Amino acid sequence: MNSLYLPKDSLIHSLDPRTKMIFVAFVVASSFIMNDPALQLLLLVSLFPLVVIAKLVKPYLISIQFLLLFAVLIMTVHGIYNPIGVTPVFEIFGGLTFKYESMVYASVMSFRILVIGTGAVLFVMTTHPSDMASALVKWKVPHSFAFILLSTFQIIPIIAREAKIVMEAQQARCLDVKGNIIQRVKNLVPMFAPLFIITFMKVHQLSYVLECRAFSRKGNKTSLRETNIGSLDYSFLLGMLAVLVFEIYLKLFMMGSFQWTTDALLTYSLIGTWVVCGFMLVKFLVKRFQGKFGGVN
Amino acid sequence: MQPYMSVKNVSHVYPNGVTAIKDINLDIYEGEVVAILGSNGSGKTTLVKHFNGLLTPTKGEITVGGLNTKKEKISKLSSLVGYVFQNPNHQTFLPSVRKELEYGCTNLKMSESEIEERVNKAIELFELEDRLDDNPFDLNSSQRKEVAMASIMAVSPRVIVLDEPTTGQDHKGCKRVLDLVRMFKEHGHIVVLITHDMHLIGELNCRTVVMNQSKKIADDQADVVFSHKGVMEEAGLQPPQITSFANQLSNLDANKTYLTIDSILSWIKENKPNEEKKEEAVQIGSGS
Amino acid sequence: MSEQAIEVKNLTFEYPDTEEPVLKNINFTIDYGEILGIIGPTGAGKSTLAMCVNGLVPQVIQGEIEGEIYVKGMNVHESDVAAMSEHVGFVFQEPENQLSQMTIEEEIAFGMGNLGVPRDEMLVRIKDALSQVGLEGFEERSPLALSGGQQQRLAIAAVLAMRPTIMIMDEPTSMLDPKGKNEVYDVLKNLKAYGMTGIIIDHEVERIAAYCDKVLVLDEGEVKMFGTTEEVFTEIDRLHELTLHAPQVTEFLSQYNRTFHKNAALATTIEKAVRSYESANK
Repeated sequence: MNSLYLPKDSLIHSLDPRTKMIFVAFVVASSFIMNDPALQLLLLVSLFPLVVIAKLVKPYLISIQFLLLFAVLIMTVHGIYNPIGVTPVFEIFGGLTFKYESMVYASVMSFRILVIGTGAVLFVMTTHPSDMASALVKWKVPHSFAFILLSTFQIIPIIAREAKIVMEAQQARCLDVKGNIIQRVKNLVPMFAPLFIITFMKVHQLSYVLECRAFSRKGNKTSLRETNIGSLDYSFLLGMLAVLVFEIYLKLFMMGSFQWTTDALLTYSLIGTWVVCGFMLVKFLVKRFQGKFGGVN
Repeated sequence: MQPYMSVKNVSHVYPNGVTAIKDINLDIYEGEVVAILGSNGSGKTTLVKHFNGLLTPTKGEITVGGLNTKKEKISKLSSLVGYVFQNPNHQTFLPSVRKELEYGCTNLKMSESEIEERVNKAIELFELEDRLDDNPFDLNSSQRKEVAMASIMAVSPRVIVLDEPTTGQDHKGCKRVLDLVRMFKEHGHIVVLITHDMHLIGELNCRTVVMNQSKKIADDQADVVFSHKGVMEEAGLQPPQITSFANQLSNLDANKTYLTIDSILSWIKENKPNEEKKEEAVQIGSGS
Repeated sequence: MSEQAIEVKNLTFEYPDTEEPVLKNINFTIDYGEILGIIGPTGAGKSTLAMCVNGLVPQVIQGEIEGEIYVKGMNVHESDVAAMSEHVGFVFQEPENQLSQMTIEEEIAFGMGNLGVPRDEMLVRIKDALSQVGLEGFEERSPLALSGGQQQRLAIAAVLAMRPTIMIMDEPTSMLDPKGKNEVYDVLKNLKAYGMTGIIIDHEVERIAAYCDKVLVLDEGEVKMFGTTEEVFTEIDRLHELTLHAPQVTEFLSQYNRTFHKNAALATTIEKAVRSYESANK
């Protein structure tokens, strides 16, 4: 498969790509409006049902792992070293103190990454790239731009394959690709020069093909894939609007009237991310070990 | 006689679980020209990539010049087995033909004098004297293919593997490839050809290995393989037009497979003396 | 109507970076339902000539052009490539470089979409095109997952769906394995049976002889020979002068005649050659 799109039969999949693009914008906006760790955590939790509806729980969890690594890094490093911190919360290894203000800052940042990541994953995994392209065209984005976006999905696996062939072809010319660092840097030229030329030739050829397929023809274009905004989209959009209004109301009038962001919450979420990351690390090591073990057999 | 290259019970399973070749046995001896035939995806290329260590068997063993390919560096093996890729653009990238020729030897860290000696040999072999300063990208596709071939030969490997040397070439280019293969053989190289070009194999009438669905299904002289209908059909191969033509003629030896025009003509000369006589008669007639 | 499908008059073309024209004073015509084979050594200008017919040269690949080309009576210079694509389809050598979409049905729909073909009509034409090239049931697959022969058939289908009258194919089988070549030529045979007009460039003269009505021999930018397949391929000495050759059976008959002083009629296909040989041998 050459894109991240996972075809499933779900409500989220059947939404118009434009609705989903607005949804991504909505998630980004929300993550900035609700700049409080507790509220962001709430946002993250409330996005999860959508993942369930889209039937993407497993692929979502796999892809969000990588963002979690960022989150751990930010929360740990900022929590200790960010100079805005004043009030100590707890201490590890004697001397390294997590401070309340820095932890709030770090949590907001890392939760924001997770929230936006979730929104993006929801969009990318449920939207066929061609649908996205044709939706963009409906928004008066130039056809050629939409095409470039789409063909990027196509050309990446081709370039990856060509890169492998070039590497083998150069090895067949007695190039030692497993040398030291200096050697490896030197090897970039015999690797990238042919790859660049080949890619250039391919794209060049494709441009002729496009001309022959009437790509530059002026006038109305049609698309095989239909994207229509229906009642489902409208209700989804309305829902988003309602939540947005509520968020702004909260932000403007209710801030300060509740205190969910406690020391405990911050500590637990920090430890929580550590635990998850530790678990991932163990899983990774076990796999490595099994691979080695299996290799011996 | 010891084979130069020996493939023993080799299978290769790619990391994604696809078995590309299965239980292959193949011994290649000094002085041989071996053609490997089969449709794309039959395992030809996978097999050949084992010869210079680009791939190592997941089962079985390969020795090249007495060396086990699992234990040697690819660069070392590539100095014994020169592999010319199908598309010269994957291999050539330097600004002049001379630099292309020197490249392999430089990678092997040879001394200046040795590099010069080997490069000069290649120049002579391929008659590249006038093109040394040309940029390979200014040459046409068949010339560029030849430069890629010359740059591999400059390392003077024992074995030369040619991947689809005639693909996309015109008649002249195909003939040039045929001449080069014969010349490599004369100079004592083992030649391995991956090809779909039945005319080329017909002209060479060399040892022919047929691959189909990861397995070796035939290994014999080309005329024997081409006469084997089952094998040809299974691998989706069609003999040269002249072979199909000869099969339909009534006055030829039905047990023989003719691969070239010359082979039919010389058979007629030998076995139909009356035709010869007629020929003489005509000559006398035309002379008088 | 007396007008021809393709009419090329005094065509001369020169690339900006060369001193000599690649095409010199080319003249030929093709009637509806005829298929022309173009043969010639590498660098003779075959591809350039083919690309002149749909306007790719000089509109996209620029250079200096003289002379006129009419396709179905329309002057190609006065039109543009995109507009010509409704009349002339072009299939290139490399199957993979012609593919840009995520699925096979979208690949076929792409050209139609650019022409503004309505969606209902698209669905009908996709079905037709897929059945013409024998790829039914592949609609949802990725073009990259196909074999070379299948990819080339897909490229042909994508062109067919635009419903051109004329098809130009520039070495459509040279990158394929024997199975792929046969697949593509089987498709072409079908198209011929439907009365397609076309130009095909190929080095395999045996295929050209079996498939084309007329042959044009190009060398150093000049038309050296032009005539019916029989006319061109039986002039063996002339072909050899141009570093070309006739189909193997024709070459055989010619050498046979020469060696044994016979006069078997030169034929260009196996069936005819067998008959010719047998009758000369009675």
